Amino acid sequence: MTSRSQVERHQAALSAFGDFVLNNADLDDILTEACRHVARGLDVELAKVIEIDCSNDTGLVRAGVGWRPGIVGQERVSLSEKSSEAFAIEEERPVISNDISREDRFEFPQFLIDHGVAALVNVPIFLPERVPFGLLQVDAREPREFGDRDIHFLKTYAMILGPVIDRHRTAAALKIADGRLKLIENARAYVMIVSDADDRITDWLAGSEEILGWSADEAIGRPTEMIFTDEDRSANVPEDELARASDSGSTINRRWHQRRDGSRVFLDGQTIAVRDSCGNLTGYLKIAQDVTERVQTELALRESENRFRQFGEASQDILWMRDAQTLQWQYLTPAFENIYGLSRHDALEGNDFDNWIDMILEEDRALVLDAIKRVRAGNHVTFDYRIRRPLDGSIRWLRNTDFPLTDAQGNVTLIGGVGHDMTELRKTELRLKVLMEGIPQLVWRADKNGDWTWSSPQWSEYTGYSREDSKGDGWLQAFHPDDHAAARSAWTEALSTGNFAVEARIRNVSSQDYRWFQTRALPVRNHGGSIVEWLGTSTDIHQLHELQGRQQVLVAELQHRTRNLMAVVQSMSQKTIRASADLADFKDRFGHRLEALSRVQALLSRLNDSDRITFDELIDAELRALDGRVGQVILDGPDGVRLRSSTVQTLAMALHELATNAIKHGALSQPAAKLHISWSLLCDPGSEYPLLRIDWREMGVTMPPDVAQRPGGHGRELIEQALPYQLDAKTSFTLHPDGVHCTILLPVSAN
Amino acid sequence: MTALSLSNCRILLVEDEYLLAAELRDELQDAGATVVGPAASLSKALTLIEGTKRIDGAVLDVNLRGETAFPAAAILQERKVPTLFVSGYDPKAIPQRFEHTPHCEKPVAVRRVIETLIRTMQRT
Repeated sequence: MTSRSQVERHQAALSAFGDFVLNNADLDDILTEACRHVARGLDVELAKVIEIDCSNDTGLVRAGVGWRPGIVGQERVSLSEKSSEAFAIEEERPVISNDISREDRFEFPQFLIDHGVAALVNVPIFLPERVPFGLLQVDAREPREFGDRDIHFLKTYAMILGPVIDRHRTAAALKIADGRLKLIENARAYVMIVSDADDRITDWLAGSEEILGWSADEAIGRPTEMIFTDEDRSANVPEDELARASDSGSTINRRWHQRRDGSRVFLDGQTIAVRDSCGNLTGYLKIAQDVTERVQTELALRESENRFRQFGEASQDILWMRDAQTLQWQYLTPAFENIYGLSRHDALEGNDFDNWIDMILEEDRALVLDAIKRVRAGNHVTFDYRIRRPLDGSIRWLRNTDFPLTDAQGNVTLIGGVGHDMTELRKTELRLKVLMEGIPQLVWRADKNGDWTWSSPQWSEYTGYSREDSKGDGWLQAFHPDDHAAARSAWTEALSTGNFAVEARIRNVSSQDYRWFQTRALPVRNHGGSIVEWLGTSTDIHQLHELQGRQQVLVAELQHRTRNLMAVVQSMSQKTIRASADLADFKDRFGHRLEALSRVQALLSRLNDSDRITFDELIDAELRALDGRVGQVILDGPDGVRLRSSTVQTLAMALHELATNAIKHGALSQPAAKLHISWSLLCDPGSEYPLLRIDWREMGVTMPPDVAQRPGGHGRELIEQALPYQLDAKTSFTLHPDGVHCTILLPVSAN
Repeated sequence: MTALSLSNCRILLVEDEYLLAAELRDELQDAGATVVGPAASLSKALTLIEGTKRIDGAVLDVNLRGETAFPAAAILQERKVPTLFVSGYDPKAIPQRFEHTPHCEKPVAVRRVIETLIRTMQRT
């Protein structure tokens, strides 16, 4: 082949290749076409393009002609010191091995030998600015001298390929960048900042402006440290972060940052060091998400958890949480130690549920286990139980309020609980119970409307109505039907006045008698002053009531007697006035009558209900008033004859008149005369009462001559008329020649 | 003094206290009345009421030896006999059915009893 024709062929080939490159967009097609051209141009069967891969120091067979399947796009050659390829790139010039069997500078890959390669030329391909891309290689199957023209031809192709490859790469990179930009456009929630190796911002992408406040124009050219907080800047955080990214490829960037307006934003993301294909640092990419809201929520949650913890720690009640499956405590407040007298450390050792159950009194365990079962099934439970403190063996009453905590599916995952120490309250309650059940009163409670809610055992014992029977208005059954209206109206009044009081009869179940009770109640009010309930008592006042009744009768009787007495005195005075000669005479007569009346009243007033004045007492009192003349009186009769109280006054007045007459005109006016008073008790079978027979006999009296003609005096009237009229007495009054003889037959009190 | 007249009137008198009964009886008679009684007990009063066809007025003591005169008053009320109570009791002690029956509280002047009786009889 002449050199001229060779040159012409080469030029024609180059021209055809130029057209091909212009008409084809695919870099692989262009590289393959280049291989075909150089193979034909140098009259060999094999040619290829090797692309440097910096990441693993190999060269990929990017394109080629004449190779068996499995080589192009897959086979790699080592770019170690011993390779001709690395040598050519290093030296930046073509390297020729005319006979590889004689070559001692290089080692050759196995697939070349397998393809029977005997000689080869490596021409490096440089991108603009002498950035190495790879090699254009021509392989011959027999040793061969490659001439200057061959080498020149190959270099021409390699030099054409450099810009072609560069253009394709840039286009591809732009394409990718376009796609990325589109993604970024949709990623407004992300800060995306690209800076160069000196950390000057070159790109201000995605949500950077929206999130941080600076526009791209304001940001570009400035160092990225501007988005860090003042504290972080003075702590060299921005520099440290870049250094870490540079060392490790990337670093986590999760911290508060600062916006253009000085406010804070929490960014969570990475800072990535960007390197070129040869590992040189070209800049940094900072990509992060605005998670301020989430962080604030977390902070609030942490705060809330913290508060809850403080609340729990400060609570005097025990707060706890158990796992619903294992029943093991997950949370237990310090109040536990006070109440149980056991450190939480000891309580939580081993199976803490078993530890807990062990402290509960045996007789309360079934109740507790049942409650736990129910809360596990999703119920709220409240239960009282006792524990024996391991510390001192003392018993504590506790009230637990347990509740289920469920997950989103409604499964009970945790059991929450509040434990309250009821010991003191129980003691108080017990004392109150002893008091309420020990006092003789019937005690009860009613709701704000007056419906009974509770009654003491005494109530049931007395009335026979159970607590249940007495609830609501059931208690009314025990009240006397005539007192129902009073009881109901007392409630109506109580609801407006705040004070319930009624006296009513309540039936005793054992005697079936009604007894009077005073039933009173006072309201229990809440802080607002509204009535919550009523506490009531019913007190047996039957005796008092009877006494009051008797007293009323007595008072009425006393009034009646007093007024009657006044009427008698009034009448007596009228009568005395009519019979008196003058005022002196009236004064004398009336005075003595009044005295006699007073004596009787004095005797009567000393009496008890069952006492009676006896006749001897009465006659004795009357005679003692006669002063000095007793020696002329002979008394003859039994002591102790009981007079009916209703008869005493009239009888006494009659005796007084007899005695007055005796002093004035009769036996006691004459020293020789005698007064003989005798009495005896007769039993008359026909009469309800025994009879007292009184015999008043004056003897040895010298009677005035006109005595029989005189009209009957007041004394005689009393004997003859008043005693029969008023006392159903039988009387006689006779004037004998030697004195008066009077008999009185009077019903007296049965002994 | 004798402006008060009970002429031709038959007046039942029930009073267990002799002195009062006697005084009232005398005054009634002085006023021209014919006194039915006096009776000192309920049983005697009832006997008198039963045995006396015409009674123009009645003066009743309420307490008669521990019994009340109300049974007698009830019969008199049925017979529409103008009646007057004289007693030491409070008006409260008088049963409601006799609330319109006049009541003289002891001690009372006899003259006043008679005046009240006459007024009562005039009203009916």
